[in-house]
Amino acid sequence: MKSGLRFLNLPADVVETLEDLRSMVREFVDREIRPISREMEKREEIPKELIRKMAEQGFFGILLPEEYGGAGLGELGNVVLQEEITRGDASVAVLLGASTGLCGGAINIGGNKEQKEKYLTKIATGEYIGCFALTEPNAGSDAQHIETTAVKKGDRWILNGSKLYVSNGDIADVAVVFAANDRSLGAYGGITAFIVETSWKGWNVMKKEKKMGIKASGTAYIVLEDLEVPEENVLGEVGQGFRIAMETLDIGRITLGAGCLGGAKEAFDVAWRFANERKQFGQPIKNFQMIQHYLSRMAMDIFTLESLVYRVAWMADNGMDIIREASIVKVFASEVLDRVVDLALQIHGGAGYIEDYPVEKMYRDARINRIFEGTNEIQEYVIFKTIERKGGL
Amino acid sequence: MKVMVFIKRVPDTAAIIKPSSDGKDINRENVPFIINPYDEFAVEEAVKLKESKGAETVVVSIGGDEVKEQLRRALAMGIDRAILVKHSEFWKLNPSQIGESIVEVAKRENPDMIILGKLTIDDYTYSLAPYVAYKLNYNLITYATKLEYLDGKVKAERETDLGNEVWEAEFPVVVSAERGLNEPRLPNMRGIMMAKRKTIEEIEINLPQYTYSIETFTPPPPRKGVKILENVDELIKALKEEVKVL
Repeated sequence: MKSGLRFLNLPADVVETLEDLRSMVREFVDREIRPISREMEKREEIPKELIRKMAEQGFFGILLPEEYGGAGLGELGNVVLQEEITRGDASVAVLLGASTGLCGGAINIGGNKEQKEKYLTKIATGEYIGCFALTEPNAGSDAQHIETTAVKKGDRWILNGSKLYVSNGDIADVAVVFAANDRSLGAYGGITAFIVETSWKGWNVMKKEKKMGIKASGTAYIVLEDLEVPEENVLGEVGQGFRIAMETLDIGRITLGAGCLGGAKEAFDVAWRFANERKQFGQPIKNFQMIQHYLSRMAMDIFTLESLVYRVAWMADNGMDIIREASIVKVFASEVLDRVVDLALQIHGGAGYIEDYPVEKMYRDARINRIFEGTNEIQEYVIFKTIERKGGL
Repeated sequence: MKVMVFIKRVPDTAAIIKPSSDGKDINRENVPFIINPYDEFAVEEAVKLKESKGAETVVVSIGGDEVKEQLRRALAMGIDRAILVKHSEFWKLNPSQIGESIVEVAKRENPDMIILGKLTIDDYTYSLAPYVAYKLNYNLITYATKLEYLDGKVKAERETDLGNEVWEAEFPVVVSAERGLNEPRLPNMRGIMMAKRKTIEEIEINLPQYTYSIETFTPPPPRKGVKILENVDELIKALKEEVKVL
């Protein structure tokens, strides 16, 4: 299958750069990520050494603007990166996505020049790892009803509350934290985003969650206790937090779709290899119609997803409205990945259920995609709202 | 100091190679291509020289536009500029013709040192470095596993069947790179972006004609299946009875 990039009518030199990026990331994944993927899962952490090497390669800045130390390759570059990284290990893709896409993305969308110079430059080079703290014990899909409070005291804001399921929360140097500055003003006006340095007093990592998949990616429960944030660390303006969160997550959903695409391609590849090597009834199992049907379904799903992901990434980079499209990518991609890893495992038979085969891990790593970055149920609600608003398609 | 390296676009060592329909070449469709691995040692060595001694570096290759992919990679690794000797079917050229194109470029560039791989994995002739050194009347060091740069000369280690040797040669010199010379870097994003701003100069050279060619190409036989044995006793038994080497 040709890369999804070639059908976007992009200038030749852009395609060249993105394809050079792809082959570079692919080689990096083969050298540095694949060999330690299972080991990272067992230890439930991503080694600092790997993070350093990824920083050297420039992975933390692909999406971010050149003036702040990034490569300025936009969401298309980010999609290429995430697709290839996820082929090697989904947890590593989550680490990159949460730091660059969510934390860096929020600062890029909402931040002023000083904030970008101070924080974005360090996120883009990988010197700082970022995280994005929105979800709370009582506010998941219902994100506008967050209970963390921000109270102004002199030239500082005092944050109190708790944040759940924060990817990178355990290792982050900097966080974008959302808190209610005035509940009576509702989502737009009542929620503010803050740039928080995790070394500040009052940022407490209470617990690292034990998960079903993406085990090497740290998922932390954070308690904010009288955390003092200086006025200049209000991201954007007071009351703009919810808008910043939503815009950041829109882009994040495309990135997630790219991860699903990479995961699905990898699952296809291992299933195809297995179907060629495994013999039953005296022949490779790919000769049997049921297996052929499975592989065809997988290829159809992957082709469709690839077309979708690259198209919407291109739309985002060209400043188009992508609220509906990003939600479509998110739902469709996560469902495709689940279908593909399920069939890939089925093709493996008993072997697919055994840790010796990579598809066992892929199956578990896949499942989170239908949940995080806004559940699929919420995405379908968003899609419907756009249908209602436009009075149709 | 000016260092010139030559690279060749070759099929990826991990690719599955099939013969072409006329049986004289490989089928080049859908095969991924890379910089010849030994040439990549040469590129890395030149970039290290640029970093440590401020050497001026230039990479040369031969072929069509497709070869720019490999030249861009060398530029992304850190080489200053690139020269592409245009040729539409460079894989049909024999080593003397490729050697002649390196010689012609070297006459224009006047490098103090030319580094290239000890062989290309598609041709396996080991002939380029000696050919180029002879034609240019440069000193020659083959199969270098370690290089050290002194003022106006180079010190090289070589491993031979008889033992290790240390050579010293004055500039200008041709060095062929052996595995172990260095660990080629993976270009990073900064390098890829910088490479976009560097030039790939395209030139044409009239190559001499020779009258030899490959008559047939046959891929190696497929590897036999792997058998996993439970313990050493089984292994010894298999070596004695099945493979009959013990």
